[in-house]
Amino acid sequence: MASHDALPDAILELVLLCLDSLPCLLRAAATCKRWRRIISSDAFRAIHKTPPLLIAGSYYNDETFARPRFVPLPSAAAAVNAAHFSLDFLHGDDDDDDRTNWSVKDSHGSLLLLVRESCGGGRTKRSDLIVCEPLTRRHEAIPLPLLAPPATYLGATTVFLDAGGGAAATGMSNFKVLCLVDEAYHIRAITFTSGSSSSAYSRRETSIDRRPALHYFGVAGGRRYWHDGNKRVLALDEMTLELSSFVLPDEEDWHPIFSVSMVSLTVGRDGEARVVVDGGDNDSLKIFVRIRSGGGGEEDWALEKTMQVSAEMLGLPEFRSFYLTWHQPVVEGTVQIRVPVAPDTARRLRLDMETMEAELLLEPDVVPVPDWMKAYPTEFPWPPLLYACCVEADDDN
Amino acid sequence: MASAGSGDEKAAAAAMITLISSDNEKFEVTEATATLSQTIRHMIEDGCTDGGVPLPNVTSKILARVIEYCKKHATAAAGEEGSSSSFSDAAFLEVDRAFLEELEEFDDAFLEVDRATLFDLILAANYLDIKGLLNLTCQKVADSVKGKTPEQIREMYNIVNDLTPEEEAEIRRETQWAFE
Repeated sequence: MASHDALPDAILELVLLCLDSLPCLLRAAATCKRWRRIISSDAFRAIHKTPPLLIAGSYYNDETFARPRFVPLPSAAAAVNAAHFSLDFLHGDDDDDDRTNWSVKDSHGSLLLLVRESCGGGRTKRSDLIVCEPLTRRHEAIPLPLLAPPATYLGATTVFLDAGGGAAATGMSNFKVLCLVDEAYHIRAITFTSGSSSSAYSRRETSIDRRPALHYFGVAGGRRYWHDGNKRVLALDEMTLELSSFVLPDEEDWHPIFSVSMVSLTVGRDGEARVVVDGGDNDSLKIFVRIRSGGGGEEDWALEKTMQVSAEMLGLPEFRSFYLTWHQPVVEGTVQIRVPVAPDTARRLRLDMETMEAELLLEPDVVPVPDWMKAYPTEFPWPPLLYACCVEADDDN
Repeated sequence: MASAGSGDEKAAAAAMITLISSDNEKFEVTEATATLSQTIRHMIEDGCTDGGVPLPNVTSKILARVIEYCKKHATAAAGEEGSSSSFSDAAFLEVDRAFLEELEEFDDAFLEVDRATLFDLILAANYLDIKGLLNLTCQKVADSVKGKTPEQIREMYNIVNDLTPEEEAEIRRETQWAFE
């Protein structure tokens, strides 16, 4: 008598919407096709509120490139056995002669991005990029082109890009990855985009000449920027891999000595990138903005503003010098500088590019963390993707 | 229903509505009680309640329970309104809290029914559009599923497992962590 058949779909949906924990929902979705269909529908996911427990814990790299380890958050440890986050389902080539090196590169939602390199006889035999969802053990290994030694993907910059369709839309069937690796004379840039079926992906590659040396100084508005130690700047569009180059215009009173600490990147309140250069006299900053993007990768930039920096403006009793920080957190309309006040001590100030007001930053500094110390937080898969059975339903459409 | 008496009498002066169950039993209720149902509220507004409101989807057994719920919640609502002017804020909050506690106790006792009745109550609440009762009963079913394995859920609600062994294995593989 008390059969679930008595309840129409719309009402069963109301009942299932009352389930607030992910494990409960997944178990309910495993009872029969009808319940599974309702829970995995787009409408259900759209209405259901996000469960309280999302971040499960973080992955950490091993100093010796052994398999990365997972450390659960205390709150999540009770909900799920941390062993389910083990990466043992990814195979290595370890035996007497060979060894597999692993490096976690990025995480996004429930996805993890890794580089796997098989080495033997003193050389790299094979390199793969692995996109995986540890909890569901879904993974895709994408072979990477071999590099001429000593270049290696273990130290490469490899990140998830916005795959489109909002943050929650990135998943095993919708991801985009950028990989930048330094070779002797080139920076190799490769993007991988998931295809329409689960096993296919598309690849795009470009090569950036790095003679003379290139210094990376930041990412803004979807482009990565390098300067050559002089006035030439390169910008790489992360999505299209389109490369643009431009020369910062000459100013008569400007004799810049470029170095890593003298060029920085920020964004204006209009959302457009700004290149900020130390004016060279320890009292000014030059702010450049793009005025024209031309064809063939050439574009024009112009001086937007010169900011005079003084002790009075900074609200300091005295001031001799300052320097830019390229790894600064980008805050729209501002640029961050450091002013040494004592040996080994610097004040950080945020300058407003419009009003010239200075704000002393008291919060802890953002110090770049070496890769092997970095935490890669991972979330429970949400919304539940419930692949089994629902794949069939997708094919019918 | 002793506690509900005074509220009923007060409202009785206004208007009474007759509800007719599928098995033709008639129930006299106050308009305040009946209008907890949006469906009946619209009928009253449209002026089509003369001669009683037939409810062909609801049996007398279930309708009696639904009316019990509506009376309690209508009384509570009327009681809150009536007392708000004659108490200080603190006293009002105290009364408010007492009302809510009493209501909660009522709801808990109200839900002590077998599953078939619970499903019938959900269907009636949906048909009559009584939001509070629908939420309450749906939550009760959901609570009964919490912490249960798929096998236990199937047994509880007579669900036929129409997943193939392959599909079940696939589901297990992908969501093993949720099954412990």
